[in-house]
Amino acid sequence: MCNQVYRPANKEELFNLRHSSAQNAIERIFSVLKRRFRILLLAPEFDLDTQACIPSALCALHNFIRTHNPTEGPILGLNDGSAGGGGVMDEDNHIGVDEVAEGNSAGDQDEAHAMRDNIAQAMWDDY
Amino acid sequence: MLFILSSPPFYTQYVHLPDRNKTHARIRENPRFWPFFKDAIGTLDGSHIQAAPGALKHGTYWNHKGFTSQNCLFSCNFDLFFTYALTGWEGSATDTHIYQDARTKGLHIPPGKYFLADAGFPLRAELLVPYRNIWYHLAEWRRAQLR
Repeated sequence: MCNQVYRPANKEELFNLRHSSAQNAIERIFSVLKRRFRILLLAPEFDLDTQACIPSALCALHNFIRTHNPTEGPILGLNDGSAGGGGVMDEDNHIGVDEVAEGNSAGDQDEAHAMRDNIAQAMWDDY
Repeated sequence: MLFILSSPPFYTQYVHLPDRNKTHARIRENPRFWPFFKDAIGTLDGSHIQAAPGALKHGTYWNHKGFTSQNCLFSCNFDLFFTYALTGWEGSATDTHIYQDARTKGLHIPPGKYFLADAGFPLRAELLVPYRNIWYHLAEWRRAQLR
């Protein structure tokens, strides 16, 4: 990519930048979970119902550890406030998108677009 | 042990959706997020977890990345606590499909609130996704952090 530094040029870019920064909590938690519980990188040959219980159980265990070991915040990169963010979208994002989502009327879609535009505009006005 | 951890009361004590009336401190205390994302109750995404299905089910568990998996949907808050998980979908299932199933299985989103999700999900009032086809650079981010 380029070395030149740009600022977001419009409300959509600014919105995506900040959205990505907040949204990447889920990517960080996946990475913590998979580092912490290596069993998730294997495929244990239990029956499928049992295999399905493993990630749920480990989510609960992860939260248990987060609750009872508050000193691990810095290890998770929580103090820098912004780990990662930005960058091009990941390859997954181009797959499996249903543009016309079931059970979602055109009116709901319009409302959702308007809500996003309003947030983006408010950010841009404040920027 | 596995079932104890993944069932009530342990599971429900530690994994639950946030209090609908509170905005998370990491949103509230960050001027880049506040007040814009004041109604965000967390973020969600799908993740492929390696699975070993029997030979008969191999096809449906084969995912687009080229291995057999269960596709799981997770949500978390901004402090890296999980708030919801739906596991066990075949690897070939799409994130959007699993999300729709989750909405009937305990993923309750209070009116006016939403999750942040990536562009692989459809935009909805309760699911705020980025604009598509808008390019942004890592370098921009460093600069933008100053603001």
